[in-house]
Amino acid sequence: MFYVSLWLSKLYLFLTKNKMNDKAGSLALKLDKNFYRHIKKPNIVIAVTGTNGKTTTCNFLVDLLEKSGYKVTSNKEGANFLPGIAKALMKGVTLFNKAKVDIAIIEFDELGSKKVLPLINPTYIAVTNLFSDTMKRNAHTDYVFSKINEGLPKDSILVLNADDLISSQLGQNNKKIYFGIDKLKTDTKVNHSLVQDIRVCPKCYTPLEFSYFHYHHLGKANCPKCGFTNPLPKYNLTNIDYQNKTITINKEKYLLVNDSLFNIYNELLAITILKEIGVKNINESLKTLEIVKTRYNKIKIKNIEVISQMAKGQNPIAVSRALNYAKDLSGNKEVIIILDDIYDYEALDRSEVMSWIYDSDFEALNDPSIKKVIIGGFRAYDYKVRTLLAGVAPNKVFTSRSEVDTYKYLDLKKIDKVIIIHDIYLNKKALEIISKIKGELE
Amino acid sequence: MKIEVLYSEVANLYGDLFNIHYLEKTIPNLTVYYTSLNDKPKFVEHKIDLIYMGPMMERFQEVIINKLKPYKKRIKELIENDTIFLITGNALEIFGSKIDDIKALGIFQYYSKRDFSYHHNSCFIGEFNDMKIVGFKSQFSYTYNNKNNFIKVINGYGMNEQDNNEGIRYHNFIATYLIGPFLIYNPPFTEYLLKLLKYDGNIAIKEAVYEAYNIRKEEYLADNLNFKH
Ligand SMILES: [Zn+2]
Repeated sequence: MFYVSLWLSKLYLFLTKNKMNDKAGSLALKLDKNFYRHIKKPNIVIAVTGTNGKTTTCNFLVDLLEKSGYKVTSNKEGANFLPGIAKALMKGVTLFNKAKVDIAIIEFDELGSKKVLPLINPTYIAVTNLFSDTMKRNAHTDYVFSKINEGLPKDSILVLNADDLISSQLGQNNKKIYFGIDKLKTDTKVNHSLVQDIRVCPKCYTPLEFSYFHYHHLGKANCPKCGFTNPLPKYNLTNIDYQNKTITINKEKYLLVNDSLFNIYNELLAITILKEIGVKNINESLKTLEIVKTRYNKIKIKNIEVISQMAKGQNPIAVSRALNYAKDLSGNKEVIIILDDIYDYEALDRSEVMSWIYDSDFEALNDPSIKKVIIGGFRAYDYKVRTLLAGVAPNKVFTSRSEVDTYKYLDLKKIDKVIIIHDIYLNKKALEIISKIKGELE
Repeated sequence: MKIEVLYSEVANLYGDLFNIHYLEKTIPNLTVYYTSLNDKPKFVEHKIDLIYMGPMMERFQEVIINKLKPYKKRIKELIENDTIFLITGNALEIFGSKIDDIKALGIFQYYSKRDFSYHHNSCFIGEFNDMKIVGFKSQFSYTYNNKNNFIKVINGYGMNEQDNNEGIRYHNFIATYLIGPFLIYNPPFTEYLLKLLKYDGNIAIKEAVYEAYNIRKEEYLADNLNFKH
């Protein structure tokens, strides 16, 4: 059945011209129950998961490897579960099941570890980080940690974040390689974020002593009682030069792709993996690397810079990073926030838990450079309460039930920048807002 | 006025500490003690007006039971003397008789069972003292055999799949599985709590919280919605 499965799913993929869905993968799995066992896997399989940054890291890896001359297959055009991964593997072989790529880059869902990993037996398993996430799905970090741990094949090499005292503890019996960011000028001695997913020693429950925080719980800590501390990184990022756009890892300089620390971690992880598999001339490929435009986009309309920043709604870390990013941008700004879960709101058995906004750093909006906070969507009133409790003056906070109509509250004559923080599924609305702003200005 | 927050370094899973931040914004000259796992609770030797504890990852429940065990008699005495306790999320399980096979404080006879293969999420609306109470649940466990009901369910889950009541109310011991900043979502209840605290000022940003509350209340009262799925 395997060849029927392979050929028909390849034919389907050819006829449908590689649409952004996983039907070809579902078809392959339906026709051969042991598809995963039969399909020839490339020499190197790299699986990537974690709360934040897994998609961007995978995109970086695919781009960088292709630019370095490797043949790569990946599930970036599909979902991060069994059918999407089957499709990726199927694309990586010839009609006679011979590997035609060198490497597979597989993003997988944290909760899918047990189902996915034994089937693909990755050479490397990279975990970006573990944070509080969409509570509906992911409950809490203990839960996600145990879910990842239960699927780790014993021969896979783990690539882990040394600055994360949660995910760095994964895979007790696996070989591990750590990456990390050293103390930076922008670090803080106290954590200014609401969420800090680890505060006490996991061994003896004594409060941890942090010598610095990069953000949230990422940083360096030790337990005064039992000595528990961060592992030492093999790939150590020691300097970020924002002016000359470079980062230094193990004394070598690399081009900086994006200046948010959030994305610097993704770049560091990608470079770590490239170094491990022996890729040369990484800088040559970094020159033309970009973040996908739906995730982050910046355009200049007349004198105003309009920035759209995607942030997964219900994910307090992603939203906190986006809010802090807005605060740290230079100039006078107005911020539009559209983060509602539109699918949940349409469901009669809805279960949207809105408490995540109280884990997100809306306090960042309480900054003199932010002139207005404009919130769009059916939950705008909840966000308004949150923003007021963050200390933002009531005359700076505006709400609109329609996401697109938020643009009406902008005061475009008085500001330098508009930042639109939007959910993954509200990308279209963000684009509409941008075109409305264009209309106003041109 | 004095509030003690117990073990917030581990018992603050879903923005729950904003219950306390909201009271801080509301009540001037409020003193809040944050008691950590290695500290002796303030309530043991001092008069505290409100004792708060929020939800936590399950492994910490056992740790906290062991921390509070030496003060069981004192906790009982405080409850009988009408000290206000506000306990949210799975922190309430600590005060029952057991959680699975773990012996809990045994202050109440109810018991709790976990099921890590099923993570329960739902919206909620219910009624207490003619007030509508709205909120959210997110949990791995249910509680059974509770005799001291707090909120009557209108739409959503109670303490377990069968129970039509949510939360615990005994003297001024008030506990609920509703997570997050329960007090911000429920301004009428917060005003009731302020009365218990003998404070007669207004709640913070009253207009905005009432606006959000009224919108949510109307939404959740709709007949076609089913939170019990
Ligand atoms: Zn320790």
